[in-house]
Amino acid sequence: MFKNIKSLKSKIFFGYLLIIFILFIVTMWSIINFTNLSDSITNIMVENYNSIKACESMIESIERQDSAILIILNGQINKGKNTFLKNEKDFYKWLSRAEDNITIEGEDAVIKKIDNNYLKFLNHFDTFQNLETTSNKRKYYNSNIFSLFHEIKNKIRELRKLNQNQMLKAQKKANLRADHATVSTIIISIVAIVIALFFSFYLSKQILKPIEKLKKAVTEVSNKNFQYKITMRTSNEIGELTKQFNNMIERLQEYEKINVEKLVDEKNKSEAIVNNINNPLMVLDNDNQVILLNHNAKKLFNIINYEKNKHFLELINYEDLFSKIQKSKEKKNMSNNSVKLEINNKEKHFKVNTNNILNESNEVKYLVVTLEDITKLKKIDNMKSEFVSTVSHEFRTPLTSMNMGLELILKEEVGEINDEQKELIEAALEDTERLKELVDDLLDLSKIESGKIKMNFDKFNVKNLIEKTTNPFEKQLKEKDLDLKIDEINDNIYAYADPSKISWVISNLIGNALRYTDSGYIKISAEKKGYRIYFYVEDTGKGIPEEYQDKIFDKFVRADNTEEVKGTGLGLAIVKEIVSAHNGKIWVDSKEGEGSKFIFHIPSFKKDNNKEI
Amino acid sequence: MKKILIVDDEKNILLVLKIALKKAGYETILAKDGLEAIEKAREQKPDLILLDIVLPKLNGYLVYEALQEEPKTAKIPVVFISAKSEKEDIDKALDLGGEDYLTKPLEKEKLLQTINEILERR
Repeated sequence: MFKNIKSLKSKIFFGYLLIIFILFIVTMWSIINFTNLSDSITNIMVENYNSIKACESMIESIERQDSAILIILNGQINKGKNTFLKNEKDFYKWLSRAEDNITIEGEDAVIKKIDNNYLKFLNHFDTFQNLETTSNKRKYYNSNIFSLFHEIKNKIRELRKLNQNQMLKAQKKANLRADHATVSTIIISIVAIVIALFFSFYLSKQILKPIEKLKKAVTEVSNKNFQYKITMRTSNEIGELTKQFNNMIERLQEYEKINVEKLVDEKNKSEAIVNNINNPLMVLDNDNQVILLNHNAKKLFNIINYEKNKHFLELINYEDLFSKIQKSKEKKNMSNNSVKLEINNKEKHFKVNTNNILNESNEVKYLVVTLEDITKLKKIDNMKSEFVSTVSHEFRTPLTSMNMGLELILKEEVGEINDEQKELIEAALEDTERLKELVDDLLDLSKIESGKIKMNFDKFNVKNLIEKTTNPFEKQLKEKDLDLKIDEINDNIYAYADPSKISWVISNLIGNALRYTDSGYIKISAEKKGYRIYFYVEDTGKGIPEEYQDKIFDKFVRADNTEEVKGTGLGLAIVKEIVSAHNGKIWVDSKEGEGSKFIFHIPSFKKDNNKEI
Repeated sequence: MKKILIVDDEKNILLVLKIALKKAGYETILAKDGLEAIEKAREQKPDLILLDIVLPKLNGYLVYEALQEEPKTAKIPVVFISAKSEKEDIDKALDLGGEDYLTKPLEKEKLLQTINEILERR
């Protein structure tokens, strides 16, 4: 119905118009009802009141005529006659009025009777007038006229009664009509109210429907659903708004499309890069759900149908790897970040590299994990260790004959030698000795590196160990005129490590210090910091140039300020391996010409230490 | 004069040890493989055997076991000499019943001291 009315304004106007129209109908209905009511009341007035009035007047006239007869009987003949005639006229006048107003059943018959009787009454009066004597007249009046007079009067009363009854009936009818009018007005009003309500509801819905649609669309768009479009055929103000809205969405769509294209482009690019990374790569979120896997990672873990946002362990069932990743996430010190995985029944070694991506509040948001296949390296490393071990063994046998042969000659057990020969043999024997040490160190190192040497972890007192370790050096220190200082060390600090290996480390560091220090002192101290025991071996030797400070822990590296080659060049490499095997770290603080300070730390003893390593 | 059987596949070792022991006042018998070692031990009944572990034909452990089976040679003290310095090797040799285990390179003083001690105990 409203579909044809286009504008919102006219819709509202039409709505008001309709309500006014309904109001008008209700009013008209009421007026009609009231008019009907007043008509029926008027009818009573006009029809019945006139009849009653006629009856009253007739009674009055006939009573006057009766009085006129009595006046005549009293001798005043003319006056009586005049009065009689005058009232006769009146009577007829009212009778004819009553005749005009015949509305009720039976009224007609009563009036005829009255008419007949009145005619008789008039005839009797004529006879009465013609009688000579007063006594005759009186006799005649008493016998004929008086009874007729009463009869007529009664008839008139009957007529009046008829009309009165009719009036009562009409009144009842009017009441009934009034009741009907009330009821019908109420019904009409209710109907009108219902219609008005319905229309106002319909109208408001009609107006609100497009607004609701628009609202939904705006919500959709604000949720970035740019595909949403409003279909609306209205051409009113809201239709216009819808059109503009759709235009806006189209623009947004275009804008988004451009952005999405750019993003997809970027995404494809990064995916291509990620997929082309040779190492398996995965990205985890903070709940350890895998959000990205590159091609090689899928291949490695045999993932055919990769579903995003699955927990790491659901997708990749390697708990060792998972715990490594977790440790790195918690930034726990990782001296060993390689992990052994059995993949397709083949043992493989991987180096686990992790990179935390932090959010604004410095919490880990994503974790990028790359695995480096070091199986080959491990193999080569093992081969190298084996090779070193074999070579060292092979060295030992010839060293025996060289050493012993030279010794036999030097001690002149196989004949006398001259001084020059002696000197040469001594040099040869010294180098044989060095070769022996080198072979021993190489063997030790290869054993530690290949993990063949087990660390026997135990609780030990740090102070006692240092004292025991430094004792054998006293003679050498005295020879070089160096002071050995042992700092105050708390009696109650205990480490959890392999005591013989740590003693070896300290000896080696003191040995180094001795080798490169000509004057001053060597100082040893230790302290507990957190769950770590820190050891310090300080000297006042020639120091290590800065560029060498990192390298001196590598094999066969010597700082170039050491003119004379002393030792095997493997000592610090072994030291570093031992400290690392204790989950510790070693480094050096040194200034050339002032001295060096070697610092390393190992775990302190805790009650639950037995589980730690 | 006490007789010492030296078993080693390296002829230079044999030479050096022979001279060193001779100078120290021992008679020496030499064997360059496992079978020869068993043969010579049976024939000449040495007072002590220096036994290398890595040997051609029969290794040191097997030589030792073979000697143990023969009542004539079962009581001869054996000192293992080897370039192997791993604890397992040493333990194995000593568990078998070796008197001692010396790792190469051998030191003359240590060798003579060990031999001397063992022979004096007998």
